[in-house]
Amino acid sequence: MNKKLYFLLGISFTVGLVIVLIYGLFYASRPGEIPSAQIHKTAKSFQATTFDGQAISLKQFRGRPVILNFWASWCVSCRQEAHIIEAAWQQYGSEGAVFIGIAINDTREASLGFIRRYGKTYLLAPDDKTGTISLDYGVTAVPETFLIDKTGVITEKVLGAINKKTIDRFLSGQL
Amino acid sequence: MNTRKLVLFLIGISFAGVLFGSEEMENRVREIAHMLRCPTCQAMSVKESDAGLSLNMKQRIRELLEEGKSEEEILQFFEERYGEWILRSPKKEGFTLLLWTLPGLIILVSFLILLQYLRKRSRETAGIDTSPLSKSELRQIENDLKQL
Amino acid sequence: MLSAFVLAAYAIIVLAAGIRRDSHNLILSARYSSIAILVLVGVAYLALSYAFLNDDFSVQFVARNSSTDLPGFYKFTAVWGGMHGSLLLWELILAFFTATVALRYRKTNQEILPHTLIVLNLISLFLLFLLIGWSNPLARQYPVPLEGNGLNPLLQNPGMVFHPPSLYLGYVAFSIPFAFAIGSLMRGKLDNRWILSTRRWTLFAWFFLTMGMILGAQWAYVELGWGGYWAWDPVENGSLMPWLTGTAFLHSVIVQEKRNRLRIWNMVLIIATFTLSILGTFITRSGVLNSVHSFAKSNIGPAFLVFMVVTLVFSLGLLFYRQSLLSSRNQTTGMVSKENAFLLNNIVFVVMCFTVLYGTVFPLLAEGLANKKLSIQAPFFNTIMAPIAILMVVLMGITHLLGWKKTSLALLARNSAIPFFLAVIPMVVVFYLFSPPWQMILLGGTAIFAGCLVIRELIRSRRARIATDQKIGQPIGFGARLLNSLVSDGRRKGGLIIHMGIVTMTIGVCGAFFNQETAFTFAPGQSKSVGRYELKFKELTEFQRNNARNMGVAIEVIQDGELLDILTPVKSYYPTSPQPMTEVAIRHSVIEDLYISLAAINQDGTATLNVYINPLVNFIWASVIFFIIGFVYSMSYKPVQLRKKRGS
Repeated sequence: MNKKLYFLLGISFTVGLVIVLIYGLFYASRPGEIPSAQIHKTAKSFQATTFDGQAISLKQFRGRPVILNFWASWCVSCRQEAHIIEAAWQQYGSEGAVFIGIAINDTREASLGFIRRYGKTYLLAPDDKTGTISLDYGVTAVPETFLIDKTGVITEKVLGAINKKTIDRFLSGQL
Repeated sequence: MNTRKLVLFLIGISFAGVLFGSEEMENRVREIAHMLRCPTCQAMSVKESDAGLSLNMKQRIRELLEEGKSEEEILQFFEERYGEWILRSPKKEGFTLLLWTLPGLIILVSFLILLQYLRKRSRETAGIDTSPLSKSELRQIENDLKQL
Repeated sequence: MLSAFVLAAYAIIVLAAGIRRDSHNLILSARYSSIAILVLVGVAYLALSYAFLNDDFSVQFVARNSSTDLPGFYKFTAVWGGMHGSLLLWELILAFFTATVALRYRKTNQEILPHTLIVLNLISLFLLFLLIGWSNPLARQYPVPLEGNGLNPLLQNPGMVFHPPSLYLGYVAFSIPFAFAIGSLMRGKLDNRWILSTRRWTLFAWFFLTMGMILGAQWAYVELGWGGYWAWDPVENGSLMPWLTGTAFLHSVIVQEKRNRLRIWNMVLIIATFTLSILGTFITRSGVLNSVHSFAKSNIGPAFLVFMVVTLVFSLGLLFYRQSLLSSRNQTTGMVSKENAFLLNNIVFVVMCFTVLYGTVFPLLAEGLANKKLSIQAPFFNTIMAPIAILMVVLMGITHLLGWKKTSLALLARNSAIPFFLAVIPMVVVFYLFSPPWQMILLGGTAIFAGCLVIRELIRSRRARIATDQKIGQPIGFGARLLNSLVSDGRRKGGLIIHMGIVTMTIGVCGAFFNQETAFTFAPGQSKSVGRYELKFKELTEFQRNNARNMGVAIEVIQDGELLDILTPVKSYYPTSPQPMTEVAIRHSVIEDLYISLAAINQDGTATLNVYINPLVNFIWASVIFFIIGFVYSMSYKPVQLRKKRGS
C-alpha cells in the first residue's frame, strides 16, 4: 500500500476533525439550546383551567395569534420576563392577541404568589400533575415561549426570557 | 427554607405514583426511561434524573404503558415532541446510519488491508527457506563447528 | 510567573542557537534555565497554595473556589479544583519533568536532547502564555470579599482529590516520549534509542492515566448517585482516547525494539497520543459538548485548538519530511506470530479510539451537515464498543502464546485448549441460569480465557527461572530461589500482571449486566425486601459533618434474619450551595455492592429511596492492586541495550 496514500488519509482526517471542532466552537448552537421539533407544525391542542377557574382550550383561540409561555414560581429568569409579557398583553390584548401562561411543576400557592407579585393578568393556568401540556410542547426548561400564529401553527420557540422585540416582531406580522 | 420544603414536597407527591405501580411495571418504566435523555440535565438519562421534567416524563411513560403502548410507540411519542435529540442512542436510519456502520466498516477494511499486506510480505519472503534443518545438514554443521 | 515565561522563551532560543553552533556552553545554560523555570513555577504554585490555606480572598481564584469553613485538606487540594489552578499544576509537573529530562539524559542522549528540550519548553511556553494572559490563578480582585464561594461539594471527596493530579501526571509524562520522538525527527537521528530511553516514561504515563481514570470512575460511582461509574461522557472520552492510543503505543514500541519495525507507525501513535491529550483538555474546557463535567465555560477553547493544530501540522509535516529515514526492512514472519498479533492489537485500539472520537464529535457533525440535534450517550457507546472490547481481551490472552517470528497453529491450539474449556464451562452455566445478553457471555468467557493463559504463563516463567538457576548450579536455598523467581524477568511479569488486572476489571464490568435496581417509599419501622436483603427503616437522622448539615435515614440491612449493617444515605446541605448533595450509602462485599441513594424525605415522614444492587463491581477497584504490582515490575526492567556492561 502506498505510503503517500496513508499520509493523504491521515491529513484529510485531521483536517476534517479540525473543521468540525472549529464549527463546534464558533458556529454551532450551544449544546443546551434545543430547537423545537414542532416548528411549522400545528400546535397541539390542550385544555386547562385557569387559576380563576375559567376553562380554556387552545382550539378556541384559532384565528388569533397566541403567545404561549411556560413558567414557574421558582424560576429566576421568569421574573425577568414577567413584566415584559404583562406589558405586551396590555398593549396588544385589545387587538386580539392571546397570552397564555402555563405554570409547570409548581404548587398553587407559590404560583398565585408569583402572579400577585408581578401583576400578571392574562390567562394563567397550572399544568396537570404529569405535566401533559409541557410534555406535548417539548418543553426542556423554564421559561420557554411558543409563538403560535393565527392558523394554529407554531412559528417560533423562544428559549429563556423573552424580550419585547421578539413579541413586537411576531405580533406586528400577525395583527 | 421554604423552597427546599417545596421541592421536597413536589418530589414527594410525584413519587406517590411509584407506590401504585407493580414491580414489573416499574422495571419497564425504568427501562424506557433509560433510553430517553433528561431534557433539563446536562447529560443524564430520564431514569437517573430527579428533575421535575424527568419525573413528569416517567409518569407519562407509566401512563402510556398502562394504555398498552409498545416501547417503540412510546419512544416515538417523545421523539415527536422533542425531536430526535431526546433519544440517547440515535436511530439506525437516515443520516445516523453513518454513525452506526462506520466503525464496523473501518475494522473490516483495516483487517482486509492487513491481510493483504501480510500476504504480500510472505510472498516477498517466500524464496527464503525457513523449514527446519535436515539431519544431514545438522551433521555437516557439527563437523564444521568441531573443526573451528 | 512572567519571569518563568521569559525564561522558557530564553531556553528555547538558547537551545536552538546551541544546536546551530554546536556549543556546549549554550546547552549547559539551557539546562540551568530548566531548573530555574521549575523553581519559579514552584514558587508560583506554593504562593497559590498559601493563599488558599490562609483564606486570602483577594486572590480571585481562591475566592471562587474556597471558603473559610472548608476543611484544611480540601483547601490545599482546591488549587486544582478550577481551571486556572489546574493549568498551573500541569505546568508545574511539566517543568519538573523537563528539568529531570535535562539533567538525567545529558550523558546518554546528547544528540537529540537539545531538540527534545526545545519541544518540552515550547509546550511549557504555551501553558505559561495561557497562565499569564488568559487564566491567571494569582489575579487579584478588589474589593476583597469576606467569604469565598466555596469548593463545589462534589469535589470534596478523597477520590476527586487525586483524580486530576494523576491524570495530569499521565498526560505530561506522555509528552516526554513525544518530545523525544519529535527531537529525534528534527535531528534526523532515527535509531531506536529514544524508545529505550523513554520506555519508563511511557509506562509511568500509562499507569497514572489509568489510575486517574479509575479514580474518576470511583468518584462518579460514589458521588453522583446513579450507581454507575462510566457514562461515556465527552470529558471522560477525552481522557479515554489518549489512553487507548497510549496503550497501543506501549505495545507497538516493543515491536520496534525487538524487531525494528513499525517505526513510522510508532511516531504517528505518539503524536496522536499527545494531540489527543490536548484535545481532551479542549473538550473539557471549551463548552463545545454537553457534559456532566461542565465547568464554568471559559473562552480558552480556541487557544487549545490552535495549539493542537499547530502541533499536529508541525509533527506530521516533520514526519512526512523525514519518512524516508524511517522505513523498516522487511523480515521473515509467519502469519501467526506475536508481531502480527501486536499489529492487530494496535488496529483494535486505534479503532476503539476512532469510535470514541467519532461518537463524541458526531453531534457536531450532524448539526453541521444535516441540521439535526442529536444525543449520543451511553447506550450507543456500550453497544458499539462491546464487540471490539471482546476482541481485545481475546487478543490479549492469545498473544502471550505466540512466538515473535512464527508459531504453528497446532501449538497454539494445544495451549489454548484447557483455558478454552475452563472459560466455556462457567459461561454455559451462567447462560442457563441467568440468560444474560451475548455480550456478557463473550466478555466473561474471554476474560476467563485470557486470565487462565496469563496465570499459566506466570507459572511457566517462574518454573523456567527456577530450572535455570538449578542448571547453572547455584547453591541456593528455597527462600532465595523463590525470591529470585519473583524478582527476575520484570518486563514479562509486569505485563502479565497488568493483563491480569485487565481481566479482573473485565469481570467486574461483566457484573454490570446483572445490576438490579428499584425505587420505593416507606415509613419508619417498615421493611422492604430487595434482592437477598431486607431493608428496614430505622429512623430519621440529622447531623453535622465538616461544613455540611446532613439529613438522612438510618436503614438496617438484614439478611436471613441477621443484622448486617446500618446504612445511612443522606442529603448534605452545604452553606455555599442552595441545592443539597445526595450522599449515597454503600455496603461493599466481594459478590456485590448494596447501594442506597436517598431520593427524598417526604413531608409525612416517609422516605423515598433508590436502591441498586451492583454485582462484582468491587473487582474493578481490586484490579488496581494488579496494576500497581505490574507497574513496579515493569519499571524495574532495563532494556538490555541500556544496561552497563558487567566488567567485560
